[in-house]
Amino acid sequence: MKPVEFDYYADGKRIVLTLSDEVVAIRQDCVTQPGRLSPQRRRVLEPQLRPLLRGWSLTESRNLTPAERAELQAEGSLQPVFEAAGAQLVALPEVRVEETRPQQQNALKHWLERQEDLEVESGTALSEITVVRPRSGRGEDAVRLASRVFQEVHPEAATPRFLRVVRRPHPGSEASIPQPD
Amino acid sequence: MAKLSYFADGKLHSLTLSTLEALQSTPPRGAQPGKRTTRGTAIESAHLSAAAASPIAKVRASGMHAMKQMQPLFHHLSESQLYVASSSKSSLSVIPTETVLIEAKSTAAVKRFQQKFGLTIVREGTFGKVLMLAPEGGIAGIQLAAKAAVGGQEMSGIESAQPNFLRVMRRVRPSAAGNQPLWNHHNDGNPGVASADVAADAAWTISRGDGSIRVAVLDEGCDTNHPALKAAVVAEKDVVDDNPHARPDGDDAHGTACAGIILSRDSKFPGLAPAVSLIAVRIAKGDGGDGWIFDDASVADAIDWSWQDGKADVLSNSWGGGPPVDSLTRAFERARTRGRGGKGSVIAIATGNENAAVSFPATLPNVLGVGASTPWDERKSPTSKDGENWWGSNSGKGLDLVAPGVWIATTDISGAAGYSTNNFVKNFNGTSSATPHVAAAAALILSVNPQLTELQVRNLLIASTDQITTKAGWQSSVGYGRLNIYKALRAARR
Repeated sequence: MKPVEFDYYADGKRIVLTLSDEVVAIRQDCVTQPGRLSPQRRRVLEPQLRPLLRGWSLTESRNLTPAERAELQAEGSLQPVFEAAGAQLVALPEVRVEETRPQQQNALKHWLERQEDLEVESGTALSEITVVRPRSGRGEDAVRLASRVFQEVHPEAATPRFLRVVRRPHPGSEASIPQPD
Repeated sequence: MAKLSYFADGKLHSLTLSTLEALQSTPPRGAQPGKRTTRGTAIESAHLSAAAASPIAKVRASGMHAMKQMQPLFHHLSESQLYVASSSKSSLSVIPTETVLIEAKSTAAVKRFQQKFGLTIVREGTFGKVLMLAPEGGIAGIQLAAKAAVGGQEMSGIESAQPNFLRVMRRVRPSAAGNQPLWNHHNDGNPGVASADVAADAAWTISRGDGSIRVAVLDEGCDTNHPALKAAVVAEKDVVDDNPHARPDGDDAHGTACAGIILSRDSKFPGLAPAVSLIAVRIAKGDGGDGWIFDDASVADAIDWSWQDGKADVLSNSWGGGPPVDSLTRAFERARTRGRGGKGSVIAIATGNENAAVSFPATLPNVLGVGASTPWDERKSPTSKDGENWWGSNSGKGLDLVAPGVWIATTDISGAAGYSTNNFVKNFNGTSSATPHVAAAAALILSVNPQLTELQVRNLLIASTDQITTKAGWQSSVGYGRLNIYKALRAARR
C-alpha cells in the first residue's frame, strides 16, 4: 500500500511527511486514568507507552481497535505521527503563522476571519506571530491548514507544531582515550 | 576456540569466544600488583560493568540485583553461561548475548526475520529497532543470534541486524604526565599532532572573557548547581516542563557537558571562556533510550526568550536533526538580527554526527555550522585516527568551520548521575562538543570588542581559522578550517 503523505512548507519549499501506520501519539491521561479505556486495554497500553512531552506518549496503532482510535481521535486525544528526515514528528493541532509586513498581516487577518473551523489566538509575545488551532483538535488538520494558509495567503511562515523525536548524541567510550605513552 | 562473525559498517568483523573464566585469569588493566581478585568478585565486577555500560540494561544500580535487568538477554543467567568475545583489533571485550538487534522498515519484515530464525521478540524500541531472543540458551543461542544478524543483511526490509553485545568497558585513568586531558586547549602532540588545538592558552593572554557577555546554552538542561558552573549562571529557562530552573532530568547530562566547555570555572577542567556568564535553557529531554524529544514551538519560544529576555550575546546549539521548520528558522533569524540591541546575537549550531550531510538547523544561512576535528587535525570520521569508528562529523553545505570533537574533558552532572560517577567527564565528543568551542570563541571576541556586529564576529572566526587540508578556502570536509581563538582575538582587538 502506498504510504499516506502530507506536506507543509519551510523556506518556501514543500516538505513531504509520511504518515506512520505503526505508531500514534496518545494523551497519557487516557491510559493512566480510569474510565477512558477498558481496564484490559489500559493493561496492554500502559507498559508500552513511550512518554514524550506535554502529556503525549507514543504507542503502536495496533494496540487500539479502529473504534477506539476513532473515539480518541474525535476527542483530540490521539494524534498522528509522521516520519521525515530521520525524525518522528507528532503533529499537534496548532499552526504558527508569521507575518511582519503590515499589508500581508491585514490579508491574513481577513482570511482567518472567513474560516469557521479555526480558533485564532492573538497576543503572543511577538506581534508578528499568530497561533491558529483547528477546531477539530486533529493534528492532520493542522498540517493541512499550514499548507493551505501558505498557498492561499503567502505569509512569511506557516508551521505546524510538531513534537520532534531525533537520535540523541552519545558520549565516547572512556576506554578510547589514549593510554599514556 | 569458537569464532563469531557479524557485519558492521559494511565490513565483516570476527570475534573469538572464550569463557568468563579465561577473562578472570587475566588481571584487569590497572589492577594493583599482588592484589589478586577473587573469582566471585571478578564475576560480579564483570556483570556490573556490563550492566552499567549496557544501553539495554539501562541500570546504574549497584549490587547483584542489577543483573535482573539483564535477564531478558539470556535464557539462564549463570556464571557458566557467560562468554566473552574479543577481537585482535580492539582492546575491548564484549559479552555476547543470545539476542540480536535489528532495525526493520515494517512489521512484516520483522515477522519474516523472526520466522526465518525462530526468534522471539524481547523488546521493541524507537526507530524500528527490535530486540529478539534465540530459542536456545548458551553458546548455541549466541551463535544463532550472530547467524541471524549476518543473514539479516541479505533480507529485504531489514535495515540493520547486529548481535547484541554487553560491553565491558574498563575505566582507564590516564596520567596527567602522559596524556593531555585538555588537548583541545593546547596540544603538544600527545595525543595527536602539536598545535592541533584552538590556541586557548595563547588566547588567555588576551582575555578569559567578561562577565557582561552572556552565552545561552540551549540543550536538555544544565546542572546549574554544579560547583564549576553555579557562579556563572545569570538566567535559566525551562520550556520542557516549565520548571523555574533549567536543571536536567536524571542522566540528561549533555547540556551540562556543553556548558562546561564554554565556561567551566574549575581550575583543573576550565572552560575556554571561564569568566563569561551562562544562560541555561532547557529545550529537550531524553526518552530513556536513543531518542531526544523536542517541541518545535517551545524551542522557537526558547530561542526568542534567549535573545529578548535572556539578553544572550551568543547562542550555543548542540542539537538538531529532522526536517526544517520555519518557526525555528525565523526565531534564529530574529536572534541574529534583533539580538544585542540590533547588533545581532551570534549563533553556533552543530552539524550532526551521522557522517552525512549537515542536518537542520545548521543548514541555515548566516549561522555558524560547526563540525568536529580530532587531535590529528583531521575531520572526525569513522576512519580518523582517534579510533571512535561509530561516528563522523556531518559535512558539506552549511559547514563553516571545525573545532575539537573527541576526548573533550568537561563538566558532568554533579554526583553520581550523568556520564560519569563524579563531577567531570573526560570523553565528551561529537559536533555537540565542537559547537561550544565556537560559542566560547565568539564570547571571548565580544568580551574584547563588544561593539562588533554578529556578522563581524562570524567573519572574524572564519577568517582566523587554521587551514588543515591541503587546499585553501572552503572545503566540504572542514569548511574554512579549524578554529583558532588566539588569532580571532588578535584580529578582534585591532
